[in-house]
Amino acid sequence: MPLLSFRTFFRWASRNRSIRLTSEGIRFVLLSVGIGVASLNTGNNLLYLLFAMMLSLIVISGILSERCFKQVQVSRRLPPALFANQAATAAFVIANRSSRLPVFSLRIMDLIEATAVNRGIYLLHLFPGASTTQSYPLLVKRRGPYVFEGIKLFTRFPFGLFVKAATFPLQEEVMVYPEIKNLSRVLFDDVSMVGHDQALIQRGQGTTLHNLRLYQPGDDSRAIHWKTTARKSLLIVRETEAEDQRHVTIVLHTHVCDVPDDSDSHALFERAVSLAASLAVLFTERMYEVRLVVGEQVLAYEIGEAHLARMLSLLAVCRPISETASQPTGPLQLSESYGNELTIHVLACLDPRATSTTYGASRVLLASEYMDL
Amino acid sequence: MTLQRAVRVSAKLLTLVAFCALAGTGKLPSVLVIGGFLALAVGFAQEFAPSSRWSSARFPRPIWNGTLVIACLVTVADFIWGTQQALQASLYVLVFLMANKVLALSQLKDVPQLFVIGFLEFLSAAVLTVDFWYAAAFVVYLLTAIWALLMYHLSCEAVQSMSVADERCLILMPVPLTARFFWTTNAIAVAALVVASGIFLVMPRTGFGFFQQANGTPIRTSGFSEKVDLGVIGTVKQDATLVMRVQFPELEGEPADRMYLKGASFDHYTGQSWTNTFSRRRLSAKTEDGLFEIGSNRAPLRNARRVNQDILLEPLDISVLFGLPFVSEVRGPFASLETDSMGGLWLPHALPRRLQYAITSIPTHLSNEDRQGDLSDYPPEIKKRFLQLPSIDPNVAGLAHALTRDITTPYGMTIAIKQHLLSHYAYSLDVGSMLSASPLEEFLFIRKTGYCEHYATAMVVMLRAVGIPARLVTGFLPGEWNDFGHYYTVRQQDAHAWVEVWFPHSGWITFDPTPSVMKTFSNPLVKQVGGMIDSIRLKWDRFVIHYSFYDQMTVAQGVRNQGESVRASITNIMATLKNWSALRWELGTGQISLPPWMSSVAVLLCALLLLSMNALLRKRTTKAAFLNRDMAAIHMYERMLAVLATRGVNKPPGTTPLEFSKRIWQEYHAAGPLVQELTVLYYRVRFGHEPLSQYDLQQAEELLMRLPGVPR
Repeated sequence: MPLLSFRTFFRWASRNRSIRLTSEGIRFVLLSVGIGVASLNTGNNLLYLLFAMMLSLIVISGILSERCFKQVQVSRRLPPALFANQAATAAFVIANRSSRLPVFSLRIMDLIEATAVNRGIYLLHLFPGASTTQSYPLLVKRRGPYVFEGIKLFTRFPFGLFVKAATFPLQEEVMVYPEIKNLSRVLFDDVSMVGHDQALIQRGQGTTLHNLRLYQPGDDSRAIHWKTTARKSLLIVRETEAEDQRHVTIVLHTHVCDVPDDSDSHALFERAVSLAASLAVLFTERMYEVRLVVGEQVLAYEIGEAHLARMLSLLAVCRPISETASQPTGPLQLSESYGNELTIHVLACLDPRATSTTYGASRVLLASEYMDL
Repeated sequence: MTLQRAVRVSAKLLTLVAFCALAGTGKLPSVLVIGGFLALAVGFAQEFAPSSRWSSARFPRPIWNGTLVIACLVTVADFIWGTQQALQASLYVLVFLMANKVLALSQLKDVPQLFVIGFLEFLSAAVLTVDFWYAAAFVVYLLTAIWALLMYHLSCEAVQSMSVADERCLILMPVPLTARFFWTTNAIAVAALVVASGIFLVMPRTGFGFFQQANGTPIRTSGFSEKVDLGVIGTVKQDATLVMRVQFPELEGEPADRMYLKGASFDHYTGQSWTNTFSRRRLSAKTEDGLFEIGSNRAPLRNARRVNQDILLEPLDISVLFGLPFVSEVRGPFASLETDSMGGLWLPHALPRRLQYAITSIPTHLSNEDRQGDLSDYPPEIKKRFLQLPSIDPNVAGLAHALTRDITTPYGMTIAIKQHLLSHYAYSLDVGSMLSASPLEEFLFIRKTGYCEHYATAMVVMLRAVGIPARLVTGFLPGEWNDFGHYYTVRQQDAHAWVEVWFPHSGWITFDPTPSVMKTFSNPLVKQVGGMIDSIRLKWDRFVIHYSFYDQMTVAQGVRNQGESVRASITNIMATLKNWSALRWELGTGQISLPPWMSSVAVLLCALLLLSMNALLRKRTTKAAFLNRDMAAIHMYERMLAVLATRGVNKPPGTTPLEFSKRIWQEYHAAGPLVQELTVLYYRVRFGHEPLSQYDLQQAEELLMRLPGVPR
């Protein structure tokens, strides 16, 4: 029972803590052992005194480093979302809770997948009661949820004999959206103008200017174009293009191609996801109503930042489907349809089996053809 | 001071302390002492030199290498032909390495090497000395070591924290030397000292001892060998060398009786010298708890008063142990103990180190029967051995008989002879030739001056001449009483000789025929300070140098006893609580009669109540302080706006503080960082609900002070 209690006590005492000797610490401990042996051999009490002094430095090291951890309050500030391969800024907020004792020599790291990731954040000195924000560039290479398991503090304080680590289990998750590429203007025009040469432009609710005409009774007074009215001394109203002409559907095919190397197929899929995300961003910026189809999941037409975030989140978590899985046959059937909508299919690479699903597409983009993005 | 200079100065300071400790042992040759201090002086001058050229001056490497070879050769030569001790010989190389590192301390990686060299010096000092000053050196060394290690650690961390690790960054980095940092560091040193003391006390002492070597030269003394020439004690009577310290644990003040610390006894007088003819010694039995039981177990002594003494004996060139007569028990760090037939205690050989031992003595007293007994009561073996006389001048016996003519009892005769010697002879250490053909006759009839040996010899011879068994004893008088430590300081000059007379019922009784000599007293202040220092020194010896496994056991036993007594007290209180029904109201007077323990509980409860109220008050004060700090942050922001308004920058009502801060960056760029920092603090309080610390408020105040001076 006592043995069990001791074990429990030590487990409790060493929770979230780890300790290892530095090279100086190893030398110090070896020297201490030498002095200890000499004192035992000779019975010289002054050697015992020196041995006790060395042991006391080890004990004080442990107490002070623990004290450092106890009086520190640390938290993390993250951006709401990240884009893969795009640097963002995150920050640690470190506060010294003690009103009397300063904090020295702290190295702060993120704990990700059980590994401490060094962000180059080091705090030499923090006054009592003070707090500081230490920011660092955060670059995540993979899309999807990115989990911060905690914050790990390291200190060698006070004598550099030991590296003591404390884990603060501050679990946080941030969604990493697919990498956004700068699509060339040519590509955008190429994609967006498909079918528009035959399209009949109609008036309607929208934001793009369609025409200016004389004011007629019943017109919305908010549509008056004041500058032209002033210039011509006639009431002129502005007409806008109907928004239904600015609909785009982005279809991401989740089936990966049959390529010799599995890693290549995944890379192509990632490129396709990135291409789809880039198109979603681009069309949202151009005020298109965008519908996203990823595999069997569909996000209906909508416009705006919130919708873009939903689309990017969907793209962030989508996974490729292996070639052995069943594939849909026949053209894609979508409930909502507009006359002049634009449908863009994004494929990792050209797969003959996917040809039927791209029937009726305004445009088919192959990620393999856009390697230079 | 920059961190770079701080780390170097602290490392050199640590080395200086270690070197002082080493030099203080007196075992370091003068050339090394001078060389070491010179190197350290130059090393410190380098740190504080006004010219950087001076501070960066280095000796050429060939000179160092050549000197190192010389130091190695000197070490080897000293080991072979000089001291012949490895430790002392290696000090040449150690001091050379110290000088090298102190003078060429340029990089951070050199600092730990200097630490190690300093530590080895301090370690050597620990081996070479046991003196009290090492305690002071130890405290200073620990304090300096904490500072030096902390500075080194901060420097290393500062260098590593740089994106490109470069020590040159330390040149610009200041030491965070605030008052709080200073006191925190010193508090760490005190804590380390306390922990070290605790570890020192509990660390088990075994001392199995391989390759041990004697240390120090024993003190030469006379008068305690098996043969003592008359007059030899006189040679040590003018020597003030400390011999031992004697403490009486049961006594608070100075004992009223004159005490005699007995060493050796002598039965045979040749006319010029005394010898112990029954020198065969017997090994004393050691009990399981390390106790040597000595002496007689005669019934009358069993219930006699016992006097305990703790004796710290300096290293002497003799193997005799001293103690009050008659010793019944001895405890000490020796494997065996021998006793002779006259109660003398002997170690198998002289120990070349300080020796601490405890003695229990049973003083004898003259019984009434012996005061009135006559000369016919002596057993033959006593008569044969202790009535021996050499061929001496018949006048000596004549004098003895003349003095005791009308007295019938041995006790009366003893007192008469003693009184005669006390009253007719003068004490003097100036007796001319040390050894003479008939020293006793010269003392009694010609010179009539002498010292303890002459007096004691004269009394023994005269007692024997009238048929009373007696013997000469040598030892020490207690010396000087130390009021601070409650112990006697015994010096060589306290060496003494006296007489033991045998009585049939009482055994050996001490008589001292030497007249008391008035001691010359030094300045009272000097005496007090000297006594205090000596008392501290004794405590150092007692509790550090000679702290032993037995002491640890005693402490453990004491703690256990204390624990048991506390437990018993608690049990008693609980039992009293259980049975207590003595609370009674005296309705007429309105008084409550409470037992004493109830008063204690009431006081305790009051104290707890006060503490709780104090904590509550402090909490409220803290909360109020936080609220005040919130308001302070808002006032701070308003003050900032007022300052900016005076510079022509006004905050439009619809602009948020953050937008305003960005605008300041564009319109009033120089003030941008200050306004941004103040805005961040303001946001933290207003929207983050994070109270500002005292430090934050100080920082804000500084920013506000700087803002009006920023040019637009």
